Amino acid sequence: MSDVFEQVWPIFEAETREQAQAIAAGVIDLERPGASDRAGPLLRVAHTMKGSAASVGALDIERAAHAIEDVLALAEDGRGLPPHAVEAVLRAAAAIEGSLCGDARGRIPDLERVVGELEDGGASGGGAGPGGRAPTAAGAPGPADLDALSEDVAALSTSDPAARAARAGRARAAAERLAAGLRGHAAELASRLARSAAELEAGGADVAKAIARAAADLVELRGALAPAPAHEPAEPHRDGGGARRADERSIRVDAARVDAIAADVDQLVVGVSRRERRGRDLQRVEQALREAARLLQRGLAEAGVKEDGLPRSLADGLDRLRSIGADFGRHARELRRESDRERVFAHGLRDALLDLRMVPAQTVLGPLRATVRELAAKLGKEVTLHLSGGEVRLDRRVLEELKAPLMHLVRNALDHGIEAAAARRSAGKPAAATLEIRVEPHKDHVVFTVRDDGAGLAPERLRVAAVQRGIVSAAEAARLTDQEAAQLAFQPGVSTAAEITALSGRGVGLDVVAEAARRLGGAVSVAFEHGRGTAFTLEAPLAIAGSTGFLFRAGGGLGILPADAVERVLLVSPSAIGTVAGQATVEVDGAPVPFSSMAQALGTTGGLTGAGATVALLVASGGRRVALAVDEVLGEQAIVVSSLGRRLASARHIAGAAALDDGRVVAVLQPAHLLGVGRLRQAEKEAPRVRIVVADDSLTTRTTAKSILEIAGFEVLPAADGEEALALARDPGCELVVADIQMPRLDGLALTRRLKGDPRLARVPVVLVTSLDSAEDRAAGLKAGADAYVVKRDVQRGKLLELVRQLLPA
Amino acid sequence: MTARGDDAAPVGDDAAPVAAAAGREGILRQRARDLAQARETASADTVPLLPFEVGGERYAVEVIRVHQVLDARFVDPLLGAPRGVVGAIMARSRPVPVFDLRHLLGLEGGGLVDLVRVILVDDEGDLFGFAVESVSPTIEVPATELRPAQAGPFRWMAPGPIAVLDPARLGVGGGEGG
Repeated sequence: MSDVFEQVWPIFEAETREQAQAIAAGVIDLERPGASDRAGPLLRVAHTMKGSAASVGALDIERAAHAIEDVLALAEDGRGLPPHAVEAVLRAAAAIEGSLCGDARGRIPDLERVVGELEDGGASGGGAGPGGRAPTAAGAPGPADLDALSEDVAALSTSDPAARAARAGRARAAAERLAAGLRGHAAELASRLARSAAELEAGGADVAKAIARAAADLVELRGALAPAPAHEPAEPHRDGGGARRADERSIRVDAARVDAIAADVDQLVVGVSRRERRGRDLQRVEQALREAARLLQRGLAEAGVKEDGLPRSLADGLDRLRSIGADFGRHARELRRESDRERVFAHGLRDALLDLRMVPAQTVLGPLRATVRELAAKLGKEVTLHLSGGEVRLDRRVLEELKAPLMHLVRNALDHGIEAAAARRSAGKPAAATLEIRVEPHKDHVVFTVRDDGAGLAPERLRVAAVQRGIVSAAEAARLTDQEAAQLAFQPGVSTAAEITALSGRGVGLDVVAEAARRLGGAVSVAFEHGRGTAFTLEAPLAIAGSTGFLFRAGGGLGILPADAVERVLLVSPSAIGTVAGQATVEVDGAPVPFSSMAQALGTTGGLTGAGATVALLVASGGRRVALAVDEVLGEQAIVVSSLGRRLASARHIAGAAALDDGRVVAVLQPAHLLGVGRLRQAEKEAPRVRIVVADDSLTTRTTAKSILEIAGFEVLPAADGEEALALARDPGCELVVADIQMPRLDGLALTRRLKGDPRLARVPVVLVTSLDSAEDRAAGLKAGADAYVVKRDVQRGKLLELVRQLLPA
Repeated sequence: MTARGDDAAPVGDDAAPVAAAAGREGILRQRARDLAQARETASADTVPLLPFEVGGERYAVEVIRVHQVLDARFVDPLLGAPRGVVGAIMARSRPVPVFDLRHLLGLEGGGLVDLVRVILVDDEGDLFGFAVESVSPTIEVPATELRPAQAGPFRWMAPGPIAVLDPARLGVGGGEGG
């Protein structure tokens, strides 16, 4: 048995046991016609059981669950299940439970019989027979029989005689069957119960007494069976021993409750550090008091008053001041000692709780198996999945956060990464693709790798998309290496897909993956080899815990960075700021580090203050560093980072919020994002470029206009016709349109009308260019709403540039 | 239902507790059903709404969606927050984001100057607040007078007309651009 299996088994076992019990408890209701609404939830339970059994490779349970599903589906039309179908489900549920005990490890010894019975139950179709009991294979009585019997006996207390008689009939039959399968005293008890039931079935006089008798017999029967179940040897999996003991040792607790306790413990830890700070405050008071006493003494000495000549009240006051100071000192030391002790306990408690929350990665890898199978079938691709590292344990909350991103990476790989079988064959690759999902622990981090052997990424397409989206300029995109360009896939709106597919959509998703990683304080990256495959790596911490925050003031507000992201605090003098490739830098340990103001990096107001030295935080994440100037450093604090909910989940800079000691709420920032944003912002600062769309069907005119404007520092998006220009102008950031009048598809006048008719674009100035300076053209252009008009031959003479500068806001 | 009191009544010796318990349970169950129905009919007739003003306009939100109304002075600004977020406030012992409803509704104005109240709403466990200019006492509006809203983050139009907000549609999607 593999290690992974060993790790997952306890979870699978507990879950499946609950599911089997839920099915057993619920299926009885389905016998009654009109209970179709109860069938749905049970079907889901069976379906889930099937899925998880498949993911751990418990094939017997998977088959049994599948057969149960088939039977339960019959009840959906509301006609009720035939009794023998209910019994078959009960027996199957019991067999599944039995297979979880001891060494069975998911094997159902009499699987064929169990499934056969279920199939018989299903084959006879819905619609309960008129109380009749279909002959079933005379198996030995199982615990389900006893449970079914209890159910029937419990239902005898009804005021409806017909219903009671029916129940009694079933109870009698069940008791008789039990009696036949049992020996000795238990068999006797079962027969007695059958007699009581028969009496009720016949509608005897003393109903209440007969019910009480039946109930008492049942209790006795249960007692007789419990200590040493007198089952036939054909039921080996009801020994229960090992499982019972395991049950007693472990309990299942709602994860939300553990989280709630953990949140309280985090508050406790914060409380302890708050008390530590109070201790320090008290010590400061002590020092201040001593100092005050000293000052008084010195003052008196300077005034020529001798120590022994002091007025009595003054001497007493001085004494009292000294003794209060000493008291304060003592209290402060005691407080420190106490909080030291508390800290040990609180941290121990937190660690223990953290350990409770650690679950094997298999809990998310397992479901991926089903996803891959399903998706591959849907896409008509053949995929072999390799999972490894499922035994790595990590914080359940981290796993929860990673569930959706991982699912997305898998979908992405199947949909965009892996080619269709024909394409693979023609590329000389085996038709069956390989998808590998690996989990590896790395110090206090865990690395998820999703690797496919598909076609790899198309960096040129990513470059184009990123430029169109305004994420990088064309020049920047050209400078990026292919591997660097690949990282653009994590930017919003940029897709690895050539076309939109129903499965992964377009450009939605990988940015979400990146956000999720950042939120966790992790990172994501991609590497590819053309024609050979793509590997996404997702790095996340093993655990989320209460942490230490670094508090600072910037841009007029307070902010917190995780303390481990702040490498140190720098004092930057104006002369220490240099530039490397147009970017402000400071030298740290002999190497230039990008330098910016925190406020700017966050996109709020307030830049670098001119004179004097600046305090900057050296922020490091994922091997990169940036120095960010802040207004003030306020020190470290133990904090509990809380999520701000779904509505702020996509906020770029904010990982969450934390409450300070004084109750103020402060944003906790994402260091990874500051690094990325810092670089982009600086690139923008270096060239605050205005974007202009130039539309002309003549390549020459287009190129001329483009180079004139580019030399003047504008960014130019060229378009070959009006339609293209309209599309480019709709992208955010376009500030002006230069268009030829004669163009295919959509001419300059129509383009102008469309732009001016769009409320979002109406303010964008339009300059029309034409070959002839004709009065009609000019009038038509102005009527369409153009802001200016220029003749082609004037373009080169600086007229275009002049107009553009006039029309753009200062 | 047939009244067969003799079956439910305590008869005989050891049967008594069982049958009595069953009878009592039956009565309690029936009572619970009646009570539940009574409450349902009451709530089906009128819908309690909490009216408030923002950007000089009157809106409302269903009382059932409101978690708390707080003083906007307790809102702390969040450094680096996207536009439309006025800050965060402590509620249920954790920080909860507070949005500028004027921004969410595309109305003019900004800052926290004239926003005096924060209405905290619960969208399936996702707690968030929006700042408003004033909050009026709850009103009861007959359900028959509520018409489904045609557009925007609204659930209904109540007479007045007052647009009734749908918290589930507030501030999700399209909030953050590139």
